[in-house]
Amino acid sequence: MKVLIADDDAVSRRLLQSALSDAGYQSIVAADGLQALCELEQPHGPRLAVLDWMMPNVDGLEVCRRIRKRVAGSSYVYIILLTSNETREEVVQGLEAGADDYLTKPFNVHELKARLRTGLRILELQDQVVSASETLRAQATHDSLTGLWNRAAILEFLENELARSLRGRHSLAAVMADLDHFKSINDTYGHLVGDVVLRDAAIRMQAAVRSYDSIGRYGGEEFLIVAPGCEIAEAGRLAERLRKAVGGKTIEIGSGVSLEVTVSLGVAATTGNASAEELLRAADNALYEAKRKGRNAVTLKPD
Amino acid sequence: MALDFKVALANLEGDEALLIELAGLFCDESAKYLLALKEAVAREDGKAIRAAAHSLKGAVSAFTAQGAFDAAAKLEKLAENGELAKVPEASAALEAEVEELRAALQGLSSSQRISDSTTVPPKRNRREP
Repeated sequence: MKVLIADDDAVSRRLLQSALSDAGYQSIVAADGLQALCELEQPHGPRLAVLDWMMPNVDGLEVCRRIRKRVAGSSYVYIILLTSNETREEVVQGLEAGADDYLTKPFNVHELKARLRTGLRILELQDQVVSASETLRAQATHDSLTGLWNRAAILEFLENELARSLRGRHSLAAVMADLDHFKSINDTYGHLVGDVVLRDAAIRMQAAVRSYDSIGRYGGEEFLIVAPGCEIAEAGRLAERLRKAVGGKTIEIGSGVSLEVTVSLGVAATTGNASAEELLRAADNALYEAKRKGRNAVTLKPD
Repeated sequence: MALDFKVALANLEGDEALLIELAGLFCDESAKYLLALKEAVAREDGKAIRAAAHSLKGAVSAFTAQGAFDAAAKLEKLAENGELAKVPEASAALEAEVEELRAALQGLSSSQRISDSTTVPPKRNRREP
């Protein structure tokens, strides 16, 4: 773990450095507040800092304030302020500037190490909170069975892309895909096999879209692909690739049994002047046409 | 007494080599701080007096040298409060304390350097946190 030491006095710096390296920390040394800020603002910079209060140019208090003003998302820096003025007003001032803890000079080396351990505990807690919230965010936007975007996330993506296509005057396509005869697969083989089919079809379609397309699970066996910058003809070719990806090879459902699964797709495109509902309705109508034509087909709905 | 070696050493967790290294650093740095202090006092520059006293306070704190620390704190406070009339006396007291500490530390660092040519401490076993 890296620790920033900022003190204008060389003796104090050396003392701090030695105490921290004994405790196994990697110390980074700054002789004034500006240097301290530079080090703290490096990518992967130190997350623990021991700052002397009084330093020339930018003092420890100002370093605290500037670090706390940083944009959300940068990782938390645990700051211990070193002071040799231990009046209550000053301690309060230091804590209000954003210090997490303070230590009075002359400080005891054991105490410094103990206070740094407290800082480590806080940073570990913060890491846990961050990773928990990242997990939650992933769960909130993804379909747990297929790993694709869920309905809400893909619709939000569609809204954003519609606004972008209107601004940039470029085309945007929506492809609605529906697995053929999925109900009978479920009825014949059970829901577990149905899940295997959904997952496999999802993986195949995801591999077939372009890197800037987004694919989400729109409903039970229905998928929505949003393809930015795509005109109707190009989107038709994309849909054709998806159709072949799903239907080109049987899907193994275990015990040596394979199923022939096909997909029908409806394609619609706009240059941003249609609403999300209108575009989806057009793609859905095209999908209906594809089903009516006998399934395992692609139908285009021109703008 | 300007310096209680036992106390200073205990705060460094018994690391004699570190004490010697810090002593050497202090002798260099405190000379600069004292010079800055004298010039600031001569100029009656309250801000510079305060800064020099503060630097000395920080440097002597490494050795838990209470006498020098208190003298520096007193001078810093006087300068901060603009009580410049009391500065020369407090400054002289601080200089005396620091000189005494320097003498004690200089003796330590030179005598140790003769008996032991390495001033860098052998590294102890470390544990990465």
